[in-house]
Amino acid sequence: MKRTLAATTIALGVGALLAGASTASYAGVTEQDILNDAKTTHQIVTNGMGTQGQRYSPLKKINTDTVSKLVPAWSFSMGGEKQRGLEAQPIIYDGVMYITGSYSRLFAIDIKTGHEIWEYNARLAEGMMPCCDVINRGAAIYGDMVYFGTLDAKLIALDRKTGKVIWKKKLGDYKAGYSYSAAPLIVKGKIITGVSGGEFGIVGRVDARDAITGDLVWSRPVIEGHMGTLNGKPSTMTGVKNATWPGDMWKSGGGATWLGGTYDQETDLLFFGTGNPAPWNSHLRKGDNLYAASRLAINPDNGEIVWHYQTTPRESWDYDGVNEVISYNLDGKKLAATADRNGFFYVLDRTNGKLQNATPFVDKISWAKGIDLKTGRPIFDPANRPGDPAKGDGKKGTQIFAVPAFLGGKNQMPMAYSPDTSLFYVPANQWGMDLWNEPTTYKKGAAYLGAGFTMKPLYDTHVGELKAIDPRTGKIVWQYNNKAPLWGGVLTTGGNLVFTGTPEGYLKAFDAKTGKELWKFNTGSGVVAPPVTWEMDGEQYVAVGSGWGGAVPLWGGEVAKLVKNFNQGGSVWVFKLSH
Amino acid sequence: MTLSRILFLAFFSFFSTSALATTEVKDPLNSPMWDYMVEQFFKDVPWKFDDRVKVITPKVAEDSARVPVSVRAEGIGKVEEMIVIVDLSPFPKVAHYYPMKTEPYLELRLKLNEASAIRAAAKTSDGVWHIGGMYVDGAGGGCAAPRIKVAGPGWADNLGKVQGRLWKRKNGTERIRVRVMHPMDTGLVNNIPAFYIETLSITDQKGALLARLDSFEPVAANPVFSFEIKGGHGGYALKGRDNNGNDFRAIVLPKVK
Repeated sequence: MKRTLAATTIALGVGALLAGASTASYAGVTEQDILNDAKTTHQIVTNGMGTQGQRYSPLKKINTDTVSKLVPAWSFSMGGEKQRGLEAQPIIYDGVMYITGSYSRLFAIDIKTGHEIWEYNARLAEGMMPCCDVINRGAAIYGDMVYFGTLDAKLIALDRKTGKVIWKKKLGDYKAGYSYSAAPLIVKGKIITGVSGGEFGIVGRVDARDAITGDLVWSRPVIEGHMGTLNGKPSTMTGVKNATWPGDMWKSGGGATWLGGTYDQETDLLFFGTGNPAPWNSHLRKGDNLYAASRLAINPDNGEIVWHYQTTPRESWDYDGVNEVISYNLDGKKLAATADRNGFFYVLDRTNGKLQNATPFVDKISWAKGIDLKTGRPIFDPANRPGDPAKGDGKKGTQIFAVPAFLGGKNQMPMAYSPDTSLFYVPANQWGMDLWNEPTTYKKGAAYLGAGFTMKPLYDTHVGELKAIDPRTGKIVWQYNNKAPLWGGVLTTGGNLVFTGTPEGYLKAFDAKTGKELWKFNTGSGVVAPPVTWEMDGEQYVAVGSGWGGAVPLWGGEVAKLVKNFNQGGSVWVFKLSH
Repeated sequence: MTLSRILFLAFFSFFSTSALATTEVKDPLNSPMWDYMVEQFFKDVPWKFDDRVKVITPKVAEDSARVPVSVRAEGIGKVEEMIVIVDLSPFPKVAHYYPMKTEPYLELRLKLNEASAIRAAAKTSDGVWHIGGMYVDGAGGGCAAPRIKVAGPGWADNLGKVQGRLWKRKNGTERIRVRVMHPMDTGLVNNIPAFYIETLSITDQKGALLARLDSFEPVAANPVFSFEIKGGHGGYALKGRDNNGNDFRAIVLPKVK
């Protein structure tokens, strides 16, 4: 076989785009549909239920008076043996729900019946290295295409009616640790993506591709010293090489943009967060390490960074700065808020990134005594940075107890903002960790941490806390305590309700003003996905994915005891009011 | 099997009169699934058994994961389409070939799930499907048995790589044989999703389309396909895509002596 087929072929390999393969007619989701998504109640065409990411719906048929009558309309099982974390938000369009499952699967489901229309199963490379479960956070939709990214770092555009692939693009080398887990963002005809893989010394990037063809328009690495591109040519360098990074450390500097971003039409800015600088051991990279652990405002037309706000300069505790930036207007100001892994709730002027306020949203923060509102910089507590291993026995530096733990005061689960109550609803966790540094060097495809850690709950009673935060003052207006860590994301509605899920399996509804628990339903597996709501045939529906997983059961340390009896799943639940 | 026949009879007696004639023709391979194959592939279209459509395959499949099958439909006029069918299979349709400017000939290797009739059907320009076949015995399990994975952990490195060869035959045709590296997973093994080459096109070096092949789950891993072209073009371009959206391309040239 080998002998007879030798030598005479020029193999061009995989990856080239089939010219003219696209057959979609693009009569579907328009730019205007996407920009109006927050106000539109019959469909959900963006992650965040609006590009600003507020996760607020004006619908009010389900409200504090009626929510007790909420009952299941249908449930859909994603099937197979692939029951792992389900962190995706559904997209609802033209009678179809598009939702991603574990192991890079995408499902199209009839929203009236719960019947599957099609599914796409990625054949994943065995050598891929997702850090924190084989999850995905949802699809994007534009024209007649639906998009999602895979664990082996591919971006795929499919015909929304047939599930056939229109194009497929490589976002990074999975062997170097690149992966993809966020929901893509559609802005001005472009599909905007980040990358995952922060634990492997990859370099975070934000890319914009033509949403129709998949061709790269611009790319913006988020670590200083790397060159951006625009229309196939080098554009500008990110930051100034070696300004805040020593030596060659910037070359594998992390800053994974793994949670995706939001877009604000009023300022015409993309807001992307960046992960921790690599490696964890900060003694190897003295300096602020821009733009890791930061929020970036990016021009969607050319990929230039318009402003940045670094939440944790010279980050040392795995406080990724990726958490979602939600745009909102209050008291005549154009603001944005974000609840960081590091335990602070930040309010920024979203026109220029200037800090307006920063307040703790967890009980204890060990790494900083506060945030200087004049300079916007944290007031570090030097005793609470793990010690330099090079100064001890060379193997392990001084161990500290850090709060929050590396999974953060808040992690990937998106918060919500209600313009009715002017409150943010933040799913938070109270935990700490033993943390120490170790020496490390970068090696392609190997974990690049230089640190060890174990997690510990702060309280015997609970870890999770859903908090209503007044962004004017940072004051906690109410909170709901949950025994297991919260990981599920929040929805708030015009019915004065707040919905969130729990790892115990419940989808719960609370009074948005008082925090009183009004309704719950056990979905059979842990809820670690954000709920959504929409209106169809005159009735209001609520949907949420159910499938325990994500980072907590993998990295939980002592916290794992709290969750060891939670079983896996992989389903979608849809609810409506009984008559 | 009996059930499917009963169901089929009930079905056609209600909906179809034209199919009635077809079931009166005895299947030369005496396959229990033949009526169901007719229902799936030849419903309401004219067809006949025809010895001129030849299927050549070993009488006993030694390796059910790759059974070589050669099909040829000569002497029946211009052939527009050819399909390869395995009656007893979770995926009866193996391949659909549009010979266009090539000979009505196709060679491939398939996964045999159990002993079965293997058939080829060729549609001539008058719309009639000419059907030939052969019965193949074998241990089976090719599509569904948990087995040693053909695709090792490194499959992604070689995915879509193509090896190929051209040579002239004494009858004046040129034969192209290509092997495409691909796991061709059926979706029935080890919880691995269905992952297979869906389409392959052959063009001359100027890009003019010569033939198209649609392939399905039961084509063997790292598929080997052979085609024939009268006269030959001395070089070909191949373009393909799998159901995950991976594209591959290759150019096949004569061996440099």
